Amino acid sequence: MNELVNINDIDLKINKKDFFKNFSLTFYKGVNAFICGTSASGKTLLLKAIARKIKFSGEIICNGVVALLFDKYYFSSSLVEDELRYVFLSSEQKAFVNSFFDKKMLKSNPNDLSFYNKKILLLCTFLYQNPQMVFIDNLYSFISTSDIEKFDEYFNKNKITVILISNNIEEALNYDYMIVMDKGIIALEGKTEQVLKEEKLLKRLGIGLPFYVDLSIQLQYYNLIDKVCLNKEELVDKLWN
Amino acid sequence: MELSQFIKKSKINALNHFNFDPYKFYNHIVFIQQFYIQISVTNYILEKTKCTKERMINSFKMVNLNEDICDQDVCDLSLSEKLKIELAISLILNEEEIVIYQFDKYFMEKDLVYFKRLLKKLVLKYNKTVVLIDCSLSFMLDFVERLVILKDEAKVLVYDKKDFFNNELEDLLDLPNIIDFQKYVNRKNCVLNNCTDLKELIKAIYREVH
Repeated sequence: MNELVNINDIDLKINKKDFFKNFSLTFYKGVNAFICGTSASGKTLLLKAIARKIKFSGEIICNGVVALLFDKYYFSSSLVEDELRYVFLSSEQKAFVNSFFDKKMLKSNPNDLSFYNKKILLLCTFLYQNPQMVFIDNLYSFISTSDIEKFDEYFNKNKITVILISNNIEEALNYDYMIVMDKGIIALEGKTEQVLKEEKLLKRLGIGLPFYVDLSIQLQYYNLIDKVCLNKEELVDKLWN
Repeated sequence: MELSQFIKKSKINALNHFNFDPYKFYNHIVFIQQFYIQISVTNYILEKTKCTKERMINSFKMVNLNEDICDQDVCDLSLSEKLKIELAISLILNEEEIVIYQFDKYFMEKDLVYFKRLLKKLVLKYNKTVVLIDCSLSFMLDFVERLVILKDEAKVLVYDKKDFFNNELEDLLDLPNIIDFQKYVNRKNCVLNNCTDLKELIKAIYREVH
C-alpha cells in the first residue's frame, strides 16, 4: 500500500502542556478512514498539524497532494467563484460545482450564503487542488445524505482517498478503517468492523456505537440473532426469516 | 412573530432547518463563533457577559468544562470547547430562551447524554425554554415536546411528540434510525409499538419474534 501521509513521532504542546507525545499515524492511498473521538481528543489539532497551521516537533511527510477541509464560517474571497478558483476547474469539475451552485450563486459573496451552502462551498474547495487524499473536518455532519452521496461518488470516480473526521458514529460504517482518538493518543485503530466489536471500550470512551451495530449486539444477548448486522435489511432478515 | 408564538407554547422545541438563518430570529444563539483576534477565554467571556470570575467558573462546571481552559487562547480551542463556552455564556446571561444551533454535530455520545440531562434540568428546575435548531431528529427524539418544521422558510408545520411516527415527517427530514427501523419492520407486517428508546425496542422485538 502507498503511504500518502506519514506522521512520524510528533510532539505538540498546548498551553505549555504536552498534547501529542511521540504520536505516529499513517494514511494509505485507497484506504478511506474515519476518525472520531470525544471533545478535545485532538482530531482537529491533528489536521492543523498536517496543514502546518500549528507548531510541532517531529515530521509529517505528504507523498502527494493532500487537501484539508476545515469547518469555518467566513471566507476571504468576495465571490463564490473566486473561492472555488472556478475558471481554473475542468469541465467535469465545473459540472460538479454547478450541481450545487447556479450562475447567480457563483457571483454572490460566499459570506452571504446560507449556513448549508457555506458547508457545501467548503467541501467543494478541494476541487482546484486535484488532491489524491482529502481530509474532511466534520463537514459531512451538516449536509444531507443525498449531497454526501454526490461527494462520495465524485471521490470514488476520481480515486480520491477520504479521511473523515466526524462525531457521527453512523458514518463510520461507510469507511474501511477507523481510528478512535482520546486525549491526544490513538485509543483504538483497525478495520471498522473489528473496531466496532470493541463495544465496551467504545462506550467507556464515550463514543457509542452505530444504531444497528448497538441493537444487534444487544439482541445477541437475548439469543435472537447470532451476528452483528450493519443495516436494517440484514437485521430484519436475521430476525424474521 | 409567528414562529416565536409556536416556540413559546412548549418548553423544549426542535426546529428543523436546512436553508434557515437563525440569526434573523434570535440575538444570542449557542453556536461556534469565528475568532480573528487572540483573546483568552476569561477575557472573551468577561467582555461578553461582564460577570464575575466565580460565576464564570460555576457555568464552566455546568457545561462540563475544565477551569484550566481559562488562560487558553480562544483560537486554540477545539470546536466542541468553543460550543461549550457559548453555552456557558448563555447560562451566565440567564436568558429565558436558550437557542442552540446544530448542537449534536460537535459531540459524541458521552457529551450528548450529559447535555440532554443539563437541558432537561434547565427546563424543569430553572423554567427555561430550550430551542434546538437542527436538520435531523436524532439528538432530540426522546426529549423534545414539539417539533416545528420550516418548509421553504414561509411555511411552518408543527408536530407534537406523538407525531414523530407520522408518515408525513418521512418526506420532510431524515428520520432517526430507531423510527426508520420500526417503519421498515411495520411494512413487513410485524408490529413494533412506536418505541423511542433502545431498551423498549429490544423488548418489543423480543415479544414480536417469540
